[in-house]
Amino acid sequence: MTTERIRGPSDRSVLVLTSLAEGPKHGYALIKDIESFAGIKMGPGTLYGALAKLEESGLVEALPAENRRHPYRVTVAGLELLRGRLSESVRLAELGLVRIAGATS
Amino acid sequence: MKRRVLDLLLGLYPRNWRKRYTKEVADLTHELLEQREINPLRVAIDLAMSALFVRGRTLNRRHRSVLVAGCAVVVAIGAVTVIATEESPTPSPLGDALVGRAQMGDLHLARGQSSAHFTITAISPPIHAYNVLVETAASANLSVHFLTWYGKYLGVQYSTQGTLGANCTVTGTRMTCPSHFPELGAERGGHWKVIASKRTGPPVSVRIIVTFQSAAIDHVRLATSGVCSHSCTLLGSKWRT
Repeated sequence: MTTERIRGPSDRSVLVLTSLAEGPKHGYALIKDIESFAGIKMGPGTLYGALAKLEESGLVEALPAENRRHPYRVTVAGLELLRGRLSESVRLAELGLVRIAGATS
Repeated sequence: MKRRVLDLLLGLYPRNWRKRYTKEVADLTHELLEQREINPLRVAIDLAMSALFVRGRTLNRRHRSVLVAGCAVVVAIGAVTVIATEESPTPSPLGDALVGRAQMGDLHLARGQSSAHFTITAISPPIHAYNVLVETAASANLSVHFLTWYGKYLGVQYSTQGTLGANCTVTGTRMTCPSHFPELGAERGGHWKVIASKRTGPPVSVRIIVTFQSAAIDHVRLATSGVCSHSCTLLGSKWRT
């Protein structure tokens, strides 16, 4: 699994990394946080599909379980990848907005 | 969701994946179902589709086709099972008696990231408009959404500040944010949660008032504005309800 398969901001992995960038979270907290900032309600399968891919790539790591909850945190590599992906998205958004302004003026 | 259905769905994942994540996925699934954050049918589809993607990454094309067919069968069986055992939606016995009647909740959100909710009864059949009024402190930055009994998320107020809070009016230390939704569309009646959330900030109280209206008024408005719902038809050059 290579990190190139983690794509733009709509990619579930980017949403998970964005949520974990704020601090470690367990699955329930991840789902609620992503719902609040992205309006996307992930199911448990989708979430763990993304977490497994990220953990395999060394971008997140599991923390000791607390009761029935299993928290994760982002790694340094994960933060760097997230920074890169979000910067690309910002650049693309700025370019698109400039072109829209040009097309409608 | 019955344990055997969940075990069947988790059995779709590769062995190593199951060994690593089964307990975590099962714990999370149970918590989401207990909190009514998701319904069993959606869980079944989500787990089956996710298993398909996880398996698919390691299979060749022929085996992937077999896997897709197998998952479709499992999802169909699981869907029939969960639907047969799914809790029925709370009926809306008051029907039209709810039209024009304010359903109100006073919520208190704790410091920092927090949320609170109350329950309303949404009307059947699903062709009604509704008003939502949010009243809170002028400095509060809240979001409000509905969560239907069948797991659908309906955005109401994404923020009470900035451009997303353009519908809000501040008077002194208080803020009111009225919203009108002219078409309930295909939503189903029954009990819905009204959820207020915030990410940061001091404790805050919020009053949320939801009032359902009859559809007739809004269909006239929609027809004359040229925007029409699925229940309108185009006759000649004009819309008719």
